[in-house]
Amino acid sequence: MSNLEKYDEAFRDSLKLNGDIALDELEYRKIKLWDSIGHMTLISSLENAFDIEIETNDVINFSSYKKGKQILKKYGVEI
Amino acid sequence: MSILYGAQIVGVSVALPKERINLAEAYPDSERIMQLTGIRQVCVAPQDKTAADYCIAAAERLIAELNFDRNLIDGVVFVSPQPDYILPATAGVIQRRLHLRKELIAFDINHGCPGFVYGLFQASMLVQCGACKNVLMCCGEVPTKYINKDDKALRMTASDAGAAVIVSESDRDIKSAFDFVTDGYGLENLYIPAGGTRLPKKVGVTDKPFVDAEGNVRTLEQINTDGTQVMKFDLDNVGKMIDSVLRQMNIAKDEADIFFMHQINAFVINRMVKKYKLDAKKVPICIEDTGTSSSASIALAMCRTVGNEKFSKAVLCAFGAGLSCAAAVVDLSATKFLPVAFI
Repeated sequence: MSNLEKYDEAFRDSLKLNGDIALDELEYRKIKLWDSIGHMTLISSLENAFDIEIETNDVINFSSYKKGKQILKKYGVEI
Repeated sequence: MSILYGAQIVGVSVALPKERINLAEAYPDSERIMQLTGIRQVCVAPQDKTAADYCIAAAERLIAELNFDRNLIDGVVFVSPQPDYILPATAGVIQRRLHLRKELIAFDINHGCPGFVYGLFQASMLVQCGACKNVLMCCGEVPTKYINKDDKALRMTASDAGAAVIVSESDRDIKSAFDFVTDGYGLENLYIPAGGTRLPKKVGVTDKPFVDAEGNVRTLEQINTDGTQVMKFDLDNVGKMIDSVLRQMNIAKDEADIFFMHQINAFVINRMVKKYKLDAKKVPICIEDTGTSSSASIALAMCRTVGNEKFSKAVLCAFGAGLSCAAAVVDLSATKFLPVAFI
């Protein structure tokens, strides 16, 4: 599984997303299930998928699908 | 940071409301929240019960089980943001209800979740300075009275509870380490805005409901919180405080017997375990059927965890409103822990 596939799977599983949703457009709190609970679930899922530990500031700044890709670069995860 | 000498935690007791809410039944669409927090039941006090009532019940059991002569108690410290009266201190109410002697010092400390460690610190200081020989420290809260019925985030985590601890003068060579951090600049991240002198309650103003970004309903007379900012404060400070108290006692992290953390929720505690590289087996999580029991939560974890083990190097860490984080290393090897009471 590629990093992109792992990244997308974490979003789909954590936020209970349908297959046809445009992931590129996703932003924190713009859909019902990406609330603070969904956010923490997503962060845990990404940490497990990539075996990393995301710093608290990055957890807070992880505000969109696109932004998340930039943040994961800091942890050596190229998507 | 401080090291205090000669004060022994003799016993610990906790009382919670017997009235419990099964979250799966009350909020059937919220399994994802329960999975994250690890909380499936919360304890909610009836309208006529106060934090002091649960503390008094815990204290009464403690005195009885320890066969402790109540006439020897010469200090009462009550730690809570929810006194029975605006005036006077609830510590005097506790003294009266427990039929304690009049020659004692009694006062309140206004603190929330970190209150257990603050209370131990104060009780230990009273003993070390010679003012008291036996201090009854009570801490507890009834947060559910300050949470909107439509504030699902808080309704699904907060429990009411009260704890009682007796701290006594000891002949043993015993010492405890404490450290604290306070961020009053972040107080709005966890507070009840109205009802004090700064913003008195006003019908039609402070009781007017509003909805936060996630659909939780609150008024200015109820608990308002930004959970993400509180979590950031906690994760930024807990490790520093634990390191500080261990350093004061010259104890390596892996030499500590156990870490009693404020029982906030499973997600945050597990994150702390990972971030600070703690041994998960030494970090009990006791929240599934009792929720987050505010300042009583460390006492609850102690009473539910400790069996016949003798923990001489126990680390305590509590965090929350203030914002504040408080940590301690204490010797619990001669402490009696009572089973949790549901009253």
